[in-house]
Amino acid sequence: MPLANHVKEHRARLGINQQELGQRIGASRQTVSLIERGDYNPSITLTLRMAREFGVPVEEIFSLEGEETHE
Amino acid sequence: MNKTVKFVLYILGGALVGGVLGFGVVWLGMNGLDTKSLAALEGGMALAAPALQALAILACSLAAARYMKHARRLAAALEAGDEDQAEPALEAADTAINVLELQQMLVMFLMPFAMAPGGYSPLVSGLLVVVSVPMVILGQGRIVNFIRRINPEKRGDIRDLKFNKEWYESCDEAERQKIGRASYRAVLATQTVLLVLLVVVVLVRMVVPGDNLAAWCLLAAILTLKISLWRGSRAEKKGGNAR
Repeated sequence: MPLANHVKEHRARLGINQQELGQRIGASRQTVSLIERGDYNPSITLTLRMAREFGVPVEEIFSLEGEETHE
Repeated sequence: MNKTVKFVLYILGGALVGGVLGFGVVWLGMNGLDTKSLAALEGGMALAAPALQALAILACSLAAARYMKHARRLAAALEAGDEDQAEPALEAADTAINVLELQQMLVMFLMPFAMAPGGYSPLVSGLLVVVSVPMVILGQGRIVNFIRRINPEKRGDIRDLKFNKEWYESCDEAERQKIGRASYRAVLATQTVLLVLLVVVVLVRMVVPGDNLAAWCLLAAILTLKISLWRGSRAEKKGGNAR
């Protein structure tokens, strides 16, 4: 089942670009871009780092497409 | 369609192709081309090869330059803050690299056809190869620098023999997954082509006199492919990096 994500929205909330988010979570700008576009499902490690950076639970960033997110 | 029916159809199709190939080889072996036609064919190919090489250099270089122009335009938009342009810019740069790779392959592939005795074809063909190689290396180096401008974490110098290794090591999980999937597809395609070539070579060998060098070379390539895939899979299972 495809994964829906709100990475772009959370990144915009923090006011940082893809490059900066990549540096903070230990990934490249390209990986952040691929995740935002839904072209890549990140590893658990990267997902947890992202959740920590955004200060929200993982479920608020990622959800199974068609299912409700915990907003 | 039922899988068994599909499998049987594949086998029948393979047998048909093999039969046609085998018949063709036997027919050529029995009737063959006469010496005069063969000489005319070789002479024509020797003349055409350098012209085709020059055409390949011109067409591929122009196409690569065009893709890079597009990539630079997208990169300018990226630098202006439009982050959605990053991937299309990288895709255009990737295409430019592949077009230059194609140029190199075509120029090298066509060179043996120019090697007819007499005339300037071998010299011109060799010169075109000498011109094309640095063109491709310099062009790819510039494209790699462009990619590095968008992805500053990328490492490796195209003139370095360790370029592929350093580049791979500077890739993170998403890129490594993409490379892994593309490599697996490439392995499957190469394996199929090598097996088909092996069948063709064995069929030809049955009719045309000669040695088994081509078959041994193909077998060595198939074995290398299988062993490196097997070693790579083992390394991945142990959590290491496949090279």
